[in-house]
Amino acid sequence: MDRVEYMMKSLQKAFYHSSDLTVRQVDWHEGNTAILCFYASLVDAKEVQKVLDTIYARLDTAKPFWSETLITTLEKFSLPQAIERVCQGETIVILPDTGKMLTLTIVNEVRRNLEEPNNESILRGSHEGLIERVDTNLALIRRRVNNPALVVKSFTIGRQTKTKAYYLYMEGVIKPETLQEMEKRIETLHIDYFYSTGQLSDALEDSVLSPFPQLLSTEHPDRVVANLVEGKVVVMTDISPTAFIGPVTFFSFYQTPDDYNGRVVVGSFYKIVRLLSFITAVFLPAFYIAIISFHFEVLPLELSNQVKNDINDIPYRPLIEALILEIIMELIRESSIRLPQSVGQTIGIVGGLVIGDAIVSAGLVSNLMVIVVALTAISSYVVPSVELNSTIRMIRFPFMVLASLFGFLGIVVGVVILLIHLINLTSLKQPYFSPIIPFQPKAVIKIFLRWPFFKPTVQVTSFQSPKDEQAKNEDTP
Amino acid sequence: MYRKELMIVMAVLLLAGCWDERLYKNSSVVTLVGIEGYVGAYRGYYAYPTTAAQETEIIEAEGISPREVRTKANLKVEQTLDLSELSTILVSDQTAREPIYDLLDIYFRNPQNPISIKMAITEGDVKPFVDLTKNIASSAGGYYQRFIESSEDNTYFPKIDLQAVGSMLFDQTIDIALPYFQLSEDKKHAVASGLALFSGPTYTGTVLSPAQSLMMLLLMNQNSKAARMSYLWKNDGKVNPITVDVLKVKRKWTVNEELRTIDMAYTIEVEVEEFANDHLYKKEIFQDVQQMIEEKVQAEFEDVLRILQNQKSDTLGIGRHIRAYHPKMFKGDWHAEFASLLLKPKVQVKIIRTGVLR
Repeated sequence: MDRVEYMMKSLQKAFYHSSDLTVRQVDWHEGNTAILCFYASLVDAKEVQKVLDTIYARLDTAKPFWSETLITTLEKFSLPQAIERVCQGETIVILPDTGKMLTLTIVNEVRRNLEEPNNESILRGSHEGLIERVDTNLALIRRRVNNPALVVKSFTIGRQTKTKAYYLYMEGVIKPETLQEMEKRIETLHIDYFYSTGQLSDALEDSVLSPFPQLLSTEHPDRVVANLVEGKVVVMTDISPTAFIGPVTFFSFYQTPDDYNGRVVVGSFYKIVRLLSFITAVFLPAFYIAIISFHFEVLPLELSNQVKNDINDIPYRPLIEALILEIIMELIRESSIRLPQSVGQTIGIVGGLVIGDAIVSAGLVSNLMVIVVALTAISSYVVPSVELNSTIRMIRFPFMVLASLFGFLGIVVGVVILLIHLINLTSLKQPYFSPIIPFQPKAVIKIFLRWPFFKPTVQVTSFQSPKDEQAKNEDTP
Repeated sequence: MYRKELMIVMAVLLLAGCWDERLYKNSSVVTLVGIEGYVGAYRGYYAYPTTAAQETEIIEAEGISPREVRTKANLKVEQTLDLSELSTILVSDQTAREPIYDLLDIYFRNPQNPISIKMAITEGDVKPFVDLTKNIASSAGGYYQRFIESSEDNTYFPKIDLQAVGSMLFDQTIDIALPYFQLSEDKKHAVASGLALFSGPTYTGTVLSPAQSLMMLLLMNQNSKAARMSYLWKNDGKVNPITVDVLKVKRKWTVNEELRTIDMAYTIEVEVEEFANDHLYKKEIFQDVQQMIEEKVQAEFEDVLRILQNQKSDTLGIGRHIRAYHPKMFKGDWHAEFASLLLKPKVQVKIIRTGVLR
């Protein structure tokens, strides 16, 4: 059998006779034949044809570097390498006579437009969002940092899927141990088939079983840049618009670009409001349960009659009453996410008006409980991060149970356990509850206030107290 | 193994409420307690709002002790009487003639009872005072609490709560004076009519009038937001009313151990709040008015001190002062000692503001 035909057969076999694989014999220079091989689904065939035409024209002039252009290169043929190239969407032209292959990197661009991420909507500032293509994402970030100190390192995830991924950092700003830690974790990734960013974040987080997210995920390039210049590592993959940022603190999740794009006083006010919402979101239902089942003497006399009237005809214990409403609340949330947006509105009306009003008239829950749960829900949605927002909605359930068992004492015990957990937690080996523990008074103020940008600054990281008095801008979105 | 753990978890969850849980909906929140009678035959009144009709319900019960009264009252209510939101205790004047701590003991023994609540003495039976809240206010205890607090702001009642009463009852060196309520003529309202003086643990039977109460509180240096005194100023056959508000009281007690006298020097700074005659900028008028007020206050101070000494009621806390600074002079039976002291008040009134009108 002809050598060319044999090679074609073996190529076909290597790709398991996949239908979208094109293997074709073509005429080459001076009567030789060559084998053209590519995945039709990944390659822009028209462009390939154009480039091949250029190469043909060059061949006749016998120039020594006839094969080298921006998108083509000549290398030695080996079957495993050829397979890898084809899988990455490149086109190869195998030259059996010389034992070499010409690779053409012309990838069919399947990408969506840059849109504003609707899970992190902001009022002011950049409305660009990251997309599912890493090269576009890198372009978005490079455009914001015109400096070679921004280092991009690539790696692949998934031994079988070989997905492209990158980690980014600012040389000179990042702490070496942070970078080492991240590199160590990336090295030890053991994933065969990579298809979800959850696989990546699980592998990179310090404690996976903690309810609190230890990596900040965002789709905003400006947020990525703000964190990069603060000395953090950013990990991006080719399959998702989500960028993971670490190491972060608990309070990073409460910051949004809006605070910093807007004005100082307004930004500070909303920062404080948002942080206080943590308390209502986690403790309000528990507090209410504790009051009406243990400590109703704390109610003002004027209010107590009203409250008593409300709860007197409720057949259930306060915990059950709260659970009914909280579960309904979570159901409404879950269903409004899964449904298309037009129907989602209907769910809001059904949930808010119909259930909210009817459930009270039906006597299943009291008016006050509706207020409490509604207030709690609103407070929990204030958190800019989707991850932390879900966490907060979840951790209020243990508090409710504790409150129904032991009243205020139960809540206090719960708070102690929560604080112990938060203080113990680390993000890339950095303290998660910084700057409260370890305590840095100046940084604590900056949690609550958005500091003005007018002072000349020295860039600092989140985790070291600045030696320079002028280093003020350590808080970033 | 898992079954055992599951059992424990379920037991913990399902047994909730078996120990110290007390559900709000199973409790009747009592806001006003009235008590009368004597040891062996007490009668108590408990006012709580009914949930259905939004009205005040009053439960009456008898018993040999305050605690038994409460237990008996519980027999007449479908829910548990809960006193954790209590705001006022009313005691009949007859009952207060006996040592009053007998009534209060149960409030100090239970941690759920609030002790930052008000206490008052009523003229005659407590029942009409409790009953009248039915028509007046949605919360019975709140009515008396607001009543007492507003009178405190006008310096008619001292600012004391149950906790202070409790500690002062066991203090030999200071006595309590509790708000005293009378019924209005149409029997539909309560009227704050001064302070009931106590000597040691018992009520003396003497009530200071509101004006005297104010003087007593000035003597105690406890003027509150407003302390108004009104007098008639006579000049050239014309009569002009004048009202002054006390801004500040400075007092200095000088004790002479040998003569057993106390010189009580008071400087009272006042603001004129009503004086239709005006012309206070004229020196003669100003001096005359100031002089007149000074004399009146001096007389009233002497009057009040005399009453206090006659009743052996040391509400000013002179005993505390003596015990602290002149321990040699202090005697074990302070009440008898107090009555025999010579108290010499000396008042100086200064008009420091004449109001916005000049």
